[in-house]
Amino acid sequence: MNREHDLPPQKQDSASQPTLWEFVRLAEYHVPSPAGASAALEKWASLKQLFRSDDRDEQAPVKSEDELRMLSQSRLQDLHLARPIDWRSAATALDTALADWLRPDNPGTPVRFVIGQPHCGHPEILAQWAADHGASAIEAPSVEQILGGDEHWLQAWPASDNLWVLAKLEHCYLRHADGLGLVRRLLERAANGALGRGVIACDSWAWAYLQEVWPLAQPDALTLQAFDARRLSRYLAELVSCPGQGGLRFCNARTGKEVRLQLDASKAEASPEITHLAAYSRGNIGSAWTTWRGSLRAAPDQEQDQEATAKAGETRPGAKAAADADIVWVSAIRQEAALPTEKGEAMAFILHALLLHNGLPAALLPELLPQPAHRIASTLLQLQALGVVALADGRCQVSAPADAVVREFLRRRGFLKDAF
Amino acid sequence: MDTPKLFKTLGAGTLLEVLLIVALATTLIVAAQKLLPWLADQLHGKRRLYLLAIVPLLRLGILVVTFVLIVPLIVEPSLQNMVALLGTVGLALGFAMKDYASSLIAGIVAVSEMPYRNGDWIEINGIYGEVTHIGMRTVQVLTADDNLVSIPHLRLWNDPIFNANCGRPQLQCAADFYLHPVHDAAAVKSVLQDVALTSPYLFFDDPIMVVVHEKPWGTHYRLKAYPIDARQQFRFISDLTVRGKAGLLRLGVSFATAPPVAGKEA
Repeated sequence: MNREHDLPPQKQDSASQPTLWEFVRLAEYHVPSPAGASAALEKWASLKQLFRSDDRDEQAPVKSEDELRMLSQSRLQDLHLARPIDWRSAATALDTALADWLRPDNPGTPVRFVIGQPHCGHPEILAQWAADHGASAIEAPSVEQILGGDEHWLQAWPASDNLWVLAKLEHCYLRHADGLGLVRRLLERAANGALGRGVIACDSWAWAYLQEVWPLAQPDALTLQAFDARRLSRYLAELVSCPGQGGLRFCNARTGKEVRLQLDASKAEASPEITHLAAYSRGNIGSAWTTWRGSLRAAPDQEQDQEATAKAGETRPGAKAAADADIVWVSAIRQEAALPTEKGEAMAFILHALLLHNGLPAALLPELLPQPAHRIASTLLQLQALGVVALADGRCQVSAPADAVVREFLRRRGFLKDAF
Repeated sequence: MDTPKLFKTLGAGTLLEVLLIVALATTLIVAAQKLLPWLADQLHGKRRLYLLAIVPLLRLGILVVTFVLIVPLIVEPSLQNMVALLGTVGLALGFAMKDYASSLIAGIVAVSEMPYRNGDWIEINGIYGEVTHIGMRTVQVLTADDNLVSIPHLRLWNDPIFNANCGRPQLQCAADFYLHPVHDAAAVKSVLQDVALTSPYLFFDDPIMVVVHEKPWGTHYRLKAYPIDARQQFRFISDLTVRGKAGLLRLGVSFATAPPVAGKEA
């Protein structure tokens, strides 16, 4: 992975509009980097945190954060931020990236890999792509099949002339002494063409682990290009640039300055807030979107007025009131999930296991970790209460708001991490 | 001819100055010995070990500076005086406090050569543990049984010192398995590799190895791997052993048992 500042200057200085959704090779992923001063400030803030528990800014904010409220569901609906990310455009971008490989006369590798960061929607993208191409969608094996090394799962593969898609490779193995055999056989058969042509998508953390389990050089593996400040600014601008949102303004709650979202990202530099958000989320659109959504605030009277206006179907009198109503405050305080103060070994193991499998059923954790089941259960409950872990489709997952914190926590302790 | 004076006449001002220097040096040493280990505990991996290793170096530096500042205050700084003073001190130490002086000098050598640093896991004379403090005369080692053992630096001169991690956060651990000789050794190796690969303690940048020795009574397997942090070594070995045994039992191999010997524990 590269940092943005490693790019050759002519590429960075290019004023052309970047493609919003783009799939690139893993080595071409450019992690957005913060501006120099911002990076130094981050380091200074983390150093100060070692010595100070109460870190208040001396400068008086334009809007007191305590007085501001989270946006209501209806307001989020108005701003088109209530729904999850629509991955159809990403599926189209994947189609473009795989166009050459899809040609019937292409003698290239039988299987292509797509690596996605957590919350970057690789299963949804692959499902959409499979539907577009009429490809068979392969379900991940059950826990029993994985631990038993059940060959039937591989034998039930579609005929080799059918295009297939395996959207969740991370659910095809377990970090258990008996949980690696099946995925090794799968990767071996996929690589030697025994399974025909298909696309395998894998979570980035699981991919890092599977590279240790069955090292397989995949220079052509694709990933969604990072949402740097320009892309992110454009994506957020597109979300709110619907009819009826013309006068909407986002303002930093501390400085009062407008956070400009650029539809045409080549025109100007992105706002510092967006640059910071892109760097904080390391180009992960899922994480950036969740953080952005969580940072939006409204003044209490503003919310009530908007609800009343919506009910009455009329506009508020007075220009000042109307202008206020169109301001969405962007909280300057980062809304990230906090890890428990007691950061024991059990917690680190649970978080790492959840990331390596992109979520696990809670009942399975004692099978994989050395801690006793009751200890795991209590730690998991604590993490759920703090919003670090969330339940999705019966699996405990590291939540999107906690993604960056958990990643940093595990990185500092020397755990295996993904390549992003 | 006047006899040269060795010591200066100490006035109240000089005495106060000496006391102030000593007090300041003591405060700095105590602060460094408290603050840096505390700060190191907030960090992980190499950063932690670097900070811990700085402590004795810093203390030695402070002591040297203190000595250089104090000596000219109480001794007339002529060559003759210095030779006389150092000669006397050397004689006293050499005869009366030979071992103590040897330990002090070995302490200085230990700080400069670094055969062990704070945070290292060392073995001296069968005592194995983590170096928690390098003093002027002794090194303190915390063993796995939670005993704090003080070992004089003097050992440095003659005894071998085994350092398991040499300033790195990781060290090699080995879990032993003793199997009945009739089994599929390749399958056992494969199972043990996966046992290490699936341990949550595993550090991935270092290799996993399975070493096999054929013995008259059976086959001895050593599963070697590195945990993320050296302090996890005993839990890591336990985890490898527990899951290794379970994996081998599932494979259907039998464990070797030593025949009972009369008068000895089995």
